[in-house]
Amino acid sequence: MKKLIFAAALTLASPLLWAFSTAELAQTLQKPANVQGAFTQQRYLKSLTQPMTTNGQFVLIPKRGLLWHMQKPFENRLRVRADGIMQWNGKSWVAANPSKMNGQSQQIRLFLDLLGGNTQGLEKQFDLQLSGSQQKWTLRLNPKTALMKQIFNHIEISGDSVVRRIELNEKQGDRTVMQFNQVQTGKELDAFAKQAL
Amino acid sequence: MNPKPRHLYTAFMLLLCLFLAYMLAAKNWLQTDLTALLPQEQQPDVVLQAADEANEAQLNTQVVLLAGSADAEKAFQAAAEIADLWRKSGVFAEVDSSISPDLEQVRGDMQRLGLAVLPHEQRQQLFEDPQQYFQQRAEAAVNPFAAPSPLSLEQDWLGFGRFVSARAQPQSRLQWNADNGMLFTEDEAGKTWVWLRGKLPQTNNIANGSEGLLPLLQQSREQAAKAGVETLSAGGAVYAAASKAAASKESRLMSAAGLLLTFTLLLWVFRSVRVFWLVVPLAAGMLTGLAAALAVFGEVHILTIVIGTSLVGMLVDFPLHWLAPSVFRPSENNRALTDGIGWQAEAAMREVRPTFIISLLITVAGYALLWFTPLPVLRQTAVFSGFALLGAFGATLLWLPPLFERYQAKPVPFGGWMGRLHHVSNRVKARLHRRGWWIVGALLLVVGLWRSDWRDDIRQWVSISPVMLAEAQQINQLSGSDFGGQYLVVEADSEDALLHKNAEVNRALQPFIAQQKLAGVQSLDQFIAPVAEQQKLQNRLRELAKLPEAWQPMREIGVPRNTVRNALNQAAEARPLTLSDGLKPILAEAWRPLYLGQVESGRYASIIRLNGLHDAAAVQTGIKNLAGVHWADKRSHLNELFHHTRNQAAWLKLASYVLAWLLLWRMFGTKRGTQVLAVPLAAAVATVAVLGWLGVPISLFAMFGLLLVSAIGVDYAVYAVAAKHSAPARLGGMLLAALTTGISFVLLGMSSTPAVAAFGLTVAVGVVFNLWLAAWLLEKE
Repeated sequence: MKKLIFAAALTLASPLLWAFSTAELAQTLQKPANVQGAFTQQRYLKSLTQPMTTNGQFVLIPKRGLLWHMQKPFENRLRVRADGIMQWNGKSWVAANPSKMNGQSQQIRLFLDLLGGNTQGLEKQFDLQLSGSQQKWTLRLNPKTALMKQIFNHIEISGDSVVRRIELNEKQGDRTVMQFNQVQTGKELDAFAKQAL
Repeated sequence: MNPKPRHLYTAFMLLLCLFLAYMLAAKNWLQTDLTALLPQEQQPDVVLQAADEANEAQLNTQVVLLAGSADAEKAFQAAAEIADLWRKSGVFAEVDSSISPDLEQVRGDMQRLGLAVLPHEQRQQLFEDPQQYFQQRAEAAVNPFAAPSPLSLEQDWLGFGRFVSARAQPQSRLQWNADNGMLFTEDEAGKTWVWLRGKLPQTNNIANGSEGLLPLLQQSREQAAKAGVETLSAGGAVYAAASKAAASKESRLMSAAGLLLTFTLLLWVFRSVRVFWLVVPLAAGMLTGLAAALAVFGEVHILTIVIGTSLVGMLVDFPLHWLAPSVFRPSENNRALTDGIGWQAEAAMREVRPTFIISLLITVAGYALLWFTPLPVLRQTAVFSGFALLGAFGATLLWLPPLFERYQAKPVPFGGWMGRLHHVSNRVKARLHRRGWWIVGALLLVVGLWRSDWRDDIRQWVSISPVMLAEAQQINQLSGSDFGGQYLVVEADSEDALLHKNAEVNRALQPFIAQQKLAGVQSLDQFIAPVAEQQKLQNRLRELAKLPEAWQPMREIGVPRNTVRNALNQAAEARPLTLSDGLKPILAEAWRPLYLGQVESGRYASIIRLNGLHDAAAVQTGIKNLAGVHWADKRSHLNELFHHTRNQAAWLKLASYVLAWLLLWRMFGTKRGTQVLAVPLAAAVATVAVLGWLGVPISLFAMFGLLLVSAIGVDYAVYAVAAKHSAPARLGGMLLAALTTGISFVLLGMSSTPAVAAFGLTVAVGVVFNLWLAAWLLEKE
């Protein structure tokens, strides 16, 4: 009997049992119909003492698209969808880049996957290490494809029911940190976001 | 017969065999390169020649294969496997399947190229609205979704590097898969097509270097098909290899079928296995022809062999004229002693020898004149055919009589039939000899001649299967480029001037693009700016360094003033890149083929590619007034050359008629001589009329067929007039000769190469007329 209790205790304590899988994480993150809130992006460059900081509002509809509304230091609205990245010129959406660039779609997919918690997509390019619990998790991404290895050292995402923080450690030594606050899920979208996404 | 010439001839043939054995063993004697057929230019312009060579080199050494599937992973997998197969095969000098860029090198190249290849729009912005430029630059810098540039922000404060990779890739539809480094495109149906490129060794002759190419492609495609992946492939070398394979298969098949049919006919007529000896003059003729062509040219083109093979029919004409009378019974003919049972090999040969010599002289002279045409294939065929006839003649004259010494002519139905046929033909002749029929004939002739279409098209020379063409088209569609054989060559006296000229032509072509007469162009000015322009931009950057408000947005995102100022000054001090410098980096590889370099001292040249050209004439007039711009259209240029050669051959032939007439006049007098010559001449004219009715263009090859027709005509006519056999026997000899000739040329008429088919058809039709007209010359009984 003692043995049995001991075995049961062992089983219950086993990290395997408690492990929070990436599939579960994906499920959690993809649950809400939409996620909106404020963001702060800080870009740390080796040669600059101060990070380059921008902030604004965002709206994410998992698997659909993202509205990235930068307010400081200047206004800039971007719409990111699988079909490309567009910029709001005050009247309509126009292509954000004057010339089409190689790797653009890759980058878009990466960000939509990162924010939307599409761990399946991320697994194609990164080795995923998930730690913590459902309430406070950290996902570390180590690049495994040649291209991602050339760009990133590693990427770290953390959060709870939503993504709270993304840190990109670039190969060149630069680092970008994005933090998300005042995050709300499932709230009605405003007219602009509805029309854009 | 005196045995001496026989021994001499035998010894000579033995020597020839030795020579041939040596040549075939020691040398690469079979030429299959289609371009080898083309005439040498009279006075080539080095610039155009360089452009042509660059184009050919690119076209003929590249083999492209696309693996496509709705399942992208499968397509990549199949392409990777095929690339592996290609590498192991050793067929290719280089196989490009995946690109894994050396990032350090790419960074260096981008920094060096950045300013020189900055798009026009951005350059203009820096002059007119620098604030806008830097606003966009700042937005891109903080945009987390922007495509990762190999250059970090610190390596590219001014943002010039952002445009380099797009500028370096003129074919923008091709995408790069970062995972495996492969290039791919997606079609409208969502299918992924993975691109694979094999480069054949440059030094190798296209066709010789690719013996293993077709089997390798076949294997690759089967392998992909097993995995459920579609494949497309294209490349000059593939076409060359395919047409080579088709030509040799066809030539094998035709010789086999020709020999089989011919000997079946002969066996049926003569009822003696001895007719197989007729193979002797045939073989002797072929050997002599081949040896002569090899001795003169050092190699023989596959097309010469194909046409040469068709000579089989003609080479047996002499022996048939000699042998045919043997089957006629003397009872049916009282006048001619040499007919029928009394037939004796040596004696019969002595009798026909003079007529043989006359027609041989005339025919060989006709071929000899072809030597003066500028077309290698025509000259080769002239040498091959002329000598083959001589060799066959020698063998007929010297070897056949001893071989047929104990030949016992049997009374066979053929002899009797000929008597009846001759009777019928006489009646028909009498019937037709009326004014009404003459008018109908003349009308048919005139309309046919009027309808005849004298035209040459290089495309008739090659048989590219429709499947291959469709694949090439699909590949063009997928790549978004459709470069035909027409392009522009631009020249100027310096690299900078050349870039200016390119830009000028580009501007001149814009209206045509707007009118959809042209889908687009690819020119070097789309890649790099002239040095002078770069210096102007550098001066502007120096100015901007002193105007911080112009780059205010950069400061807003947190880039210190000094950093931007230093970046501006640094860019302003860098050494500008010349065109050739700009093309050196690996990144610029795609643009290199456009630049021909300094072709001659003081002449720099480049190519402008025309994409999707719909109205060549309009574009051609559009650039007419621009100095230093050449319109290059190899196909129409070649067609012109063929046209010229064809006319030249026609005039040479007419000249040969005059010579022939002189000879015939010496032998037969004015009336008979003229009659004899009228046969080939009338047959040639009638053949042109028939081709006109059939809608077959009179190309160089058809003209070549006409030359052969007239040679055969002379042969028949001389035989009909001069041989000492009875009229039915002569008719029989001619009919047999016509049938054997007809067999091989009808077979040739079924060739998949349009030019060869036209040749076969022309001769086949011509032979019918020759027979008919020569029969007309046979006197009534």
